[in-house]
Amino acid sequence: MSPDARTTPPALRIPILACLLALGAYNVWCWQNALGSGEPSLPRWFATWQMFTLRDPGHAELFGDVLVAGEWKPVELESLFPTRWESGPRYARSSFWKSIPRMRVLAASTCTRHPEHPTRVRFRVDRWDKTLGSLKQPKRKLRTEDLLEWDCTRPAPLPAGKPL
Amino acid sequence: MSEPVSEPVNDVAAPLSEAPPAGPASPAPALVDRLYAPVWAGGWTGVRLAFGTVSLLFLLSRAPALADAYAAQDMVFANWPFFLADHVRITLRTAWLLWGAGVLGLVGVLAGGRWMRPGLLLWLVADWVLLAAESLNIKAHDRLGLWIALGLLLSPAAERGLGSKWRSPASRWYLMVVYAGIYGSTGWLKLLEEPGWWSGKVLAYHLVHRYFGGGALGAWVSGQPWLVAPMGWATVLFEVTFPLLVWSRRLNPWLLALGASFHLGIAAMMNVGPFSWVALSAYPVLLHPDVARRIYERARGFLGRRGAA
Repeated sequence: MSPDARTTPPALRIPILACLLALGAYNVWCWQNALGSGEPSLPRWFATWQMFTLRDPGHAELFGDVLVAGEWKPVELESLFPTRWESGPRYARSSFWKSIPRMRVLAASTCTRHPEHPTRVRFRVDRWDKTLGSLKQPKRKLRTEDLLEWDCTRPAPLPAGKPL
Repeated sequence: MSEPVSEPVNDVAAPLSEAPPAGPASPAPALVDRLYAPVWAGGWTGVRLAFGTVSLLFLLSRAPALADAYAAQDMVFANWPFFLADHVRITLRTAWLLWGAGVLGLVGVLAGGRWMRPGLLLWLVADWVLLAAESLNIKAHDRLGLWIALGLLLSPAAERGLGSKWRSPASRWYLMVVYAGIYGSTGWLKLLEEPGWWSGKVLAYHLVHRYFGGGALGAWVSGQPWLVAPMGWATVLFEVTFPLLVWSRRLNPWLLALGASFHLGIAAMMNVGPFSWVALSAYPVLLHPDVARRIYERARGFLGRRGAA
């Protein structure tokens, strides 16, 4: 009797099962990397899933100041850089503000985007403990950390060394 | 994976109330033949429409951010594993072209038929070039969308009239393995690396995240230990057991009902973009085909009665 035309041809059945087993094994291999918090690797990146896994008991907020005519003024970062992700403004992620190369790009962009043409910019981050059960999140146990001060005459090192 | 058949042998005219057509008439089919017995394929139409709609709505919502997110000439970053910005900076016109190509592709996905596969490929290319240009913000739902799109390409989803057709189960298995990987991976990490899930503290902290937090409801829930603790247990148990239980005919519908409530809870109490909806878009195929078909028949009967009335 001829094979059922509605399903996979017999010649492909075992190879497909083997591919699915390999896909399962690939997922386990990727998981082992996340478990060991190993170095990022492109082959594993597509199936490494770590979503809200670890405890995150604190808030962080980035602030910027610009030096204009010898006076430091606070800068509204959200109006200068309006793009928002689910995780907030792009510079709000810890992986962003903990990275000096990225902060340098943010600093140089602040220099060029700010309408008052500042001569220097500086950034700090406020970190404080979360308050459970409350929409308002008062700054309990506030820690402030200076991150970067940038001279606006310096060229910004964009990817591959291209200047801004 | 599954081989779409241009003209099915005997299932197009089969009324839905009938039992699915039998597989090969061999008296004792081999295990592999039994594994590959055709299953009801209507769920793939559900996945195509749900995934296409979610992706299209999300892409449309990106339009206002196009200039600053994808085509800014100053905030340029290269981030592992995407180094497009080392070589190319996307201009605003290119960003709009890519965005328009993505929208066009997704319209093709929703149209189905001969437009689905080219549309899906067009959207994949356009979307991932934009993501690579942005590079810093490739999210879980972007990667999950890639896996689901691959499943759609391998599936019979492009065919019309799938509500009355039976096809190979292989492309469904593919999605089951992908979801087993996602849920299992994150669940076992929680189980092995973060004991705070058992007290609910980890979940509570996420619910008041400055941006991911879900407003008043999430904030209130975060202060109710009697609520967040069982929610934490349920999350870990669901994710850890999913890779095994999803294959069980009897437990599959209950597991997916728990999964649906899990994702709807995330959507209600957190701000994670379209993640919940992208994840749920594949559920029509993850659900056991017999159960999915019964739901489809009931919905069809209900709508038919309403139409007649």
